[in-house]
Amino acid sequence: MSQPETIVPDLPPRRPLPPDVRERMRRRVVGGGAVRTPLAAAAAVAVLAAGGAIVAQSTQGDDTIAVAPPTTTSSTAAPSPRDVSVIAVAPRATEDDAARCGFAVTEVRFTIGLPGRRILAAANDRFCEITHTEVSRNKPEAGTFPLAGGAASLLWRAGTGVLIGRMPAGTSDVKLTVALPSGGPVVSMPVSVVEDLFLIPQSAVRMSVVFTTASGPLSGEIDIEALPRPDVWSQSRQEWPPGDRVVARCLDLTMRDGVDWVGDPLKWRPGAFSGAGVDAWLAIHDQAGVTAYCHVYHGEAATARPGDTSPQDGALVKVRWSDGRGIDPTSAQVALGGTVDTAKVGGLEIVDAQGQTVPAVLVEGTFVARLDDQPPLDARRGLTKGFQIRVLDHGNQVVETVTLE
Amino acid sequence: MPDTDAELWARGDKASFAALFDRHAEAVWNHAYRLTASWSLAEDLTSATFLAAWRRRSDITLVRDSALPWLYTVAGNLARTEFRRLGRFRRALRRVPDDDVVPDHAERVIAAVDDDRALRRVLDVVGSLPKAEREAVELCLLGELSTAEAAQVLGVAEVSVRSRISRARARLRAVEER
Repeated sequence: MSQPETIVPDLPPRRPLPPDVRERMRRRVVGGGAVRTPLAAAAAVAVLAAGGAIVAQSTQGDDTIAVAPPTTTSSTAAPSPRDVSVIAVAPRATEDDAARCGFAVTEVRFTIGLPGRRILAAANDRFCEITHTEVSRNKPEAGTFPLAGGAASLLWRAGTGVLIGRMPAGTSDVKLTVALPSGGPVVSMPVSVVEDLFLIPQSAVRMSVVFTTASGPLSGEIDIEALPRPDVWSQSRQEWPPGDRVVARCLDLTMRDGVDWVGDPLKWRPGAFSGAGVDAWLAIHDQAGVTAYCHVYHGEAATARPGDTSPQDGALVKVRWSDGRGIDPTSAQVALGGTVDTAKVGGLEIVDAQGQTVPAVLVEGTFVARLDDQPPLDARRGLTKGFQIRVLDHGNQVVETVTLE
Repeated sequence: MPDTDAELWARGDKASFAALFDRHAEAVWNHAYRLTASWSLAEDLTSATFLAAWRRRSDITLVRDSALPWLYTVAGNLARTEFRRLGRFRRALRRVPDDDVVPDHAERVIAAVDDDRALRRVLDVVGSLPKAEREAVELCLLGELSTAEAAQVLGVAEVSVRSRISRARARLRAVEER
């Protein structure tokens, strides 16, 4: 990809995308969990409390973005991928959860389940969020923030970004939209309702909320940046589960996306690591043949991608995952990982299409390798097409060369 | 296993779209900043761009198998459409005092820089360019796409893009020399 002859005067350099910004946008754009049938647009929300079972409903409207892409035929309505929302509500809490939050079980009104986390709502507007590696509680003394002229209020923004508020009395419907730079309504966002509370699982920087009440609609604007900082509004502590902390953190963040392949996070162990760098990759495995590849961005664990789960079938090496990143239009990185037959394989060398050779790291039957200075991602068919893997035995002799398609 | 943008795009499923997001989010976010001079606005604009991409994925023919030119075009269209419709976007940019950078979330995460003032000055000029020049500038100068890619995504000859950029460059240089 050739570059323009000149650049704009004073054009600022590109910045690395901070992981929390990436994650926030990713949740907003990609959502989490399996794609479900979209709920009816602007569906009324209601909470039913019958026989102790609390049912929460979510609203998710249709998008209203006006776009004029250069090559179009007709507009096609498609389900939005934004799908992180309340998945379960249970009365009270388990003794363990209540204890971790410092609540008495009888104080807890209900426990709200979201992908990868649980939020306990206790009496007197006390809240607590539990993830795989963190526990955070709100500080009631930090106060609440009026919304819709004081008819509603914002009570807490949990550590994972879930925003909790109290609706005006008699609310029958809640709609949440995100404003684009102009401030105009752009896209409806999921909002869930549990009893007198509303929850916004994915917060945008600026949002508009409209409550439908018996006396008419009440609206308000939510500016995330105007809310208290996390350290003002919350007290948090990390609770590391047994095992490797990078693996735990990676799975914690991954489970918040609602993935269905993690299972018991305590079974996962670290495997091969691609080495230091802005973008590094850690292979992890569940000790039962399933692998995943954890992105370590600027030294911090981010989310993991599942590997192909097909059987090894006697192969010495099996590529189970690959990924490419093209921050700079002129170059890219390609990473790949997989599994090896540990009895027969002592090492791997990856040779890219340009002839660059990189040794792969092997740990506990997993391998991962990162290749820098790759051609732009769009300049070839297939990220790893033409790559070769030289399989070495334990005596460092080449026993097989595999060419990737 | 992820492959080219075109293959992911054609697949059209959520996992493929997530892979496209992971691949291009940083580039689109930076481009959105160059269109808005605000990291907060860039975050919203980036999200909106990908959401629009998801909605229109079945309508789009990718240029050179890369989603990036089209994503840049969508980001530009979104900013411009909103700007045309309400005019608030431009006012929001002007409202930011030159000596008081808006303290947005991203700027708390990464070190604050003083690029915003110069970028707002450039955007003022870019916003006043004729549409054809503005589109070429956004894709080639702000987005750093090649003129060939811009030509394809804009549906014009490459020589036209070069000519538009040449005219726009003169105006931008004039701004720089003030």
